Amino acid sequence: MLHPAAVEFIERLSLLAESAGIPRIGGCILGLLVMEESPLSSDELVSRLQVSKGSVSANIRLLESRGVVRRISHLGDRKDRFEVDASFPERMIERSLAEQRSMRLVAMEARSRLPSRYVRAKDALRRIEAFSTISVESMERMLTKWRESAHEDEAAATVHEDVAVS
Amino acid sequence: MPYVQGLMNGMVKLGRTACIGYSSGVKALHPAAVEFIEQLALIAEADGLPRIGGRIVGLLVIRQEPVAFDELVEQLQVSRGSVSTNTRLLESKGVIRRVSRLGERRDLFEVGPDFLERMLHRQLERHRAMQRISSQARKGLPAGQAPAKEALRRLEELSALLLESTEKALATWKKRGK
Repeated sequence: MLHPAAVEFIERLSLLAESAGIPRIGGCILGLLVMEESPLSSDELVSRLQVSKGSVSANIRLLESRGVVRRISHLGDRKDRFEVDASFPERMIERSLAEQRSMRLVAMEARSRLPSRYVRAKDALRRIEAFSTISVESMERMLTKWRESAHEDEAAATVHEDVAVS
Repeated sequence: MPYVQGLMNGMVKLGRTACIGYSSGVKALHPAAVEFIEQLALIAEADGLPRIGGRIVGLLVIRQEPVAFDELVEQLQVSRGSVSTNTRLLESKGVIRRVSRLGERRDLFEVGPDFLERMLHRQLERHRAMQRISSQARKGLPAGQAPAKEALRRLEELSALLLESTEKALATWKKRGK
């Protein structure tokens, strides 16, 4: 049984995911996997979320392709299980970064290819380029920061394990 | 590959529109403009905006003048209902605005002066919501659920960083504009 706070989180996450272009069921799967402590099989996802098998498998594929969810298979277990990919926050940042980078590229290409009579359009494209450059730079700095903090966490976890072993 | 396919379809469609449009008085678009509109729409779609909405923004960016509702329908070769839904959505987000001109009875649309910032506001809102729901769930969960709480803490941290980065970019842009 999920705690009410967990249920609320899953519901709100799925609405949020929808506004970012991930179907609501995909958001529910992600939320459930964040809340569950062990990996879930697709049958379990079907019965927990009360949705069709087809919908679960389509959404799992989407989440896998975005590097958000990871498939694990165990010897002797015929069912694949799924868990949140540990590097999923990094994937999310990289995705936004890629979006901004392609925005810059698309504007740059259009500006250089448009004939000179498109004076005002070229000017608008130059603004888009400048804007995306600022976003890209800011996100690159943030990604570095995130990677550093992830390393610190790993280092801290290693120390804990060492203590536990000794 | 589906993206490339979508792009090709879009280009064919827009290309044809440009031809039809030319003969009926609508301004023909340069192929580079058509490609820009289509690419922008794909990027916007990945960000959760309907593709038609992205095309409307792209077309208005290229045209740089108020465009009539009927012209949007004609040039993008989509239904009136779809144009109306999407212009309303973009208006509510402050990305485009409706303008009226003396002696002009039709509604005209143009990109808002700060449409770039407005596009980023969407992301800003998402990061804020993400931070809020992760924090509330983490506080609401009982102490026994340590791994879930830890996962939520990381999500909070991530949203805070994303928020900070987007806000910094907006501030830099505003400073530059002055």
